[in-house]
Amino acid sequence: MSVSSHSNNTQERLLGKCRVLDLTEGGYNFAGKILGDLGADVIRIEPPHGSITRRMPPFHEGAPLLECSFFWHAYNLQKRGITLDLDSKDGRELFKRLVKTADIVLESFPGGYMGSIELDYKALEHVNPDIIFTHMSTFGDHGPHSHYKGSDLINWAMGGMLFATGDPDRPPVRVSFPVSEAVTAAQGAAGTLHAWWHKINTGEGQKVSVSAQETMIWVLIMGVGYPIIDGSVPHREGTYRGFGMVRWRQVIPCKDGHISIYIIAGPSGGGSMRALVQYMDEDGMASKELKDRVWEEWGPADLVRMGEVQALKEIRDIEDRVAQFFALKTKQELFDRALHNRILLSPCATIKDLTENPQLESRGLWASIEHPAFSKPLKCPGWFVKVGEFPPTIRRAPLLGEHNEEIYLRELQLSTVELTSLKGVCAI
Amino acid sequence: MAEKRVFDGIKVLDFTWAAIGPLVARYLAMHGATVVKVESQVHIDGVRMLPPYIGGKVSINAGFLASEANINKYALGINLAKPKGPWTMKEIVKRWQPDIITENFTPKTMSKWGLDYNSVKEIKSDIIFFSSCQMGQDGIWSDYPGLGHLAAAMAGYFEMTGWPDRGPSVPFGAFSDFVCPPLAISAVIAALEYRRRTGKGRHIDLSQLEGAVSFFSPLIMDFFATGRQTTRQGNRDEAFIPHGVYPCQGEERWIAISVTNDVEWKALCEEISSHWCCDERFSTFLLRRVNEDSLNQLLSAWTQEFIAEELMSRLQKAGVPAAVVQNSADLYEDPHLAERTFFRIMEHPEGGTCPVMRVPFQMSKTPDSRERLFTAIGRDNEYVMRELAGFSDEEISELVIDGVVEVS
Repeated sequence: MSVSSHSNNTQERLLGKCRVLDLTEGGYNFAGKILGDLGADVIRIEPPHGSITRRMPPFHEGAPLLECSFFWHAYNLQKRGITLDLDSKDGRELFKRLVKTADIVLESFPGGYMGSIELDYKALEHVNPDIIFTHMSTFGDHGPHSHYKGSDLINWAMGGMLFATGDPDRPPVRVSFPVSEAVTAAQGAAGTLHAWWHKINTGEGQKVSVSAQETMIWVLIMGVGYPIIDGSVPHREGTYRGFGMVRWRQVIPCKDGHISIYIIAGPSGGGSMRALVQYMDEDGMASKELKDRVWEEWGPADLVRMGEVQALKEIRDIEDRVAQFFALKTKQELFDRALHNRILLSPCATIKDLTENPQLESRGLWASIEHPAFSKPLKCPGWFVKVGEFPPTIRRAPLLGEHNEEIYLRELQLSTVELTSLKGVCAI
Repeated sequence: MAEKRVFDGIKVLDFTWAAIGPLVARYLAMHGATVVKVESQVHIDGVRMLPPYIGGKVSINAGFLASEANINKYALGINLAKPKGPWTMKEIVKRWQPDIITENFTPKTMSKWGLDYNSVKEIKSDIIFFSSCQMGQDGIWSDYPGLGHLAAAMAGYFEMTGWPDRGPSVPFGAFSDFVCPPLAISAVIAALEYRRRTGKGRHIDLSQLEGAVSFFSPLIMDFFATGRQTTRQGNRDEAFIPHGVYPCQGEERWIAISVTNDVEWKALCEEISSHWCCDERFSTFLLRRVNEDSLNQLLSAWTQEFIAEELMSRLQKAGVPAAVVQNSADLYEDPHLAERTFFRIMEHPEGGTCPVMRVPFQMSKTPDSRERLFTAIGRDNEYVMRELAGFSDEEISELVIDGVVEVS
């Protein structure tokens, strides 16, 4: 039973017949959700007692135990759900029957686990020669660390992002939500679809191994080149950011919060800085020096050329003046003006700000999702990318074993007796 | 060269600039597609100006990020501001018949040149047209220009990063530029499959803001349902204790430890093998929560006796999730990345070397390729205009004289 907030939906699915068996946990759940948004038939397979992702915060205190995790609900939209015990022989045989009907398997178990229960790519290739088998974990499925344990924080640490983030006088710090797994899941969806396109054209399946460490190195990319190119290493600088020794503030407080701003100008930011100076000038807060500066010639390369001492002096001067000005303005005032005059700045949004963002509202991003465990519809982003006129139909996250009969009886054509027995031995 | 590539035969006209756009077409270029990147010397891509500069010389051809993001692409220099500029691009579309067009200008820019989705559809009806901008192609703020770190701030990442007793901090780099490309390429490939089935093209509209926001879906759902706001909490985790970054021997050497259950806690205690581990204060998860600060202090005192790399091996061997907080230089010494050939050090034609990364997924039968660094604007004008698009020598000379085809 699918429930959609967008009843006028006429969008054809981008992906044609494409069945995905999703065994992932945690943030890696997002991969199947992405494939589901694009039109794949995603079957979320949980152990008979329920996925551990159902135990991941944040929780709704009023909801039943297995339905209280927003983490679960958000990352398992667009999926049907069945139960299956991979640790039992019956469960594994049943899984192989499912693999025969599938195009893609997604899993995020620790390296080697699928091999230990004889369900790795090598084994499944015999069951279905053109299966695509995607593994996602901190280190991927090969290399000397592939048996190491991972987590969001480990992903940040090994990928170099952690070292470069946070205040210099405190330990390195991550984003306070396990976003690295979800980003790795996005890379996993991308890699899976690369393999899918190859399969469409050649009939050939393969294994796809996705590394969260490497995903985080990609996020670090602006800091990755330095050691090889000039021997330097980017350190964490709090709200400052820089090139070599030339650094500037990225976050400046305003009257009711914080503003992120791009103070560096150059060819692409010159107009923005000129507009900001003009705005400051209206309150008598722009110096003659700022008003006379040719901002197009004040880009990163120009500052590097200028030399550290002079560049820092000029940057500090403008930062101080901008900070004095921002202290008098609210997030809303500054951003309204930014919109009007194309000044490159942004309020630092809280989660609440996000939900009230007028642009997201006007795009119709928020989808309402009915769920039997909640009296009011759940609301969350209705897409990650917009394709065509209408947003995708949204199916709520499955209840535990909700589609067992639909999939095992009707699609896999197990007999009722078989289904009952498998339930009895806890294989389902 | 004999290796099979996923996108062999796919043709891409890449109008993107900055980071997010080029990185989308990069997936295609690394997997066999012919990607022609269109640029102009009149309006130089700011990313070309970002340090570090390969070879050490400040040059628009040596910016690391531009080289990295545009690997394997062909460089075409076209001045779209010239009267015959847009015409030339349309002719290239007609003659070369690209499968995919990618662009990440603010909305209206492509239509100004008559190169927006609806116009291109007239010439190539099944074109897959990928647009990315800060806010999306429609909505009340759609014209507002973008930058990766501003989108990250607007998507909530700054407020979610740092310490509860301090203001918002900044995850390194232009965060949203680097988390959105996998979302984008997934939609592009799905559109290829849609076109194969139906013969129809698609316009894909990625808002960098929405892409970044999508990863926070659980927090947004939580806020809408309960009114509760998650915000920055250092390295504290709701479900795991101890969970944090602890000092090791040496300057700026740290280890991240992330204990996710009781078994791992017990294993950690055995490694520490000190009386405080058995303390009643730390005997259950709930008590560890209450006494988390003391636990972190005691743990820090223990970790700082060790060399980070050795402690990681030791703890991982004992089954405790632990990792060296690697800096950029450490990545090149990492034996795991070396075995996976994640970095390839390539020579830049104008001098110097730079690392080029694999995509973060490895396909067993159709690996990615790293062949040509991206250098001068218009480097491949001849090849693209003559060999790919089939322009005659006379036509090309005329366009050069008109200043449409830019000679580098």
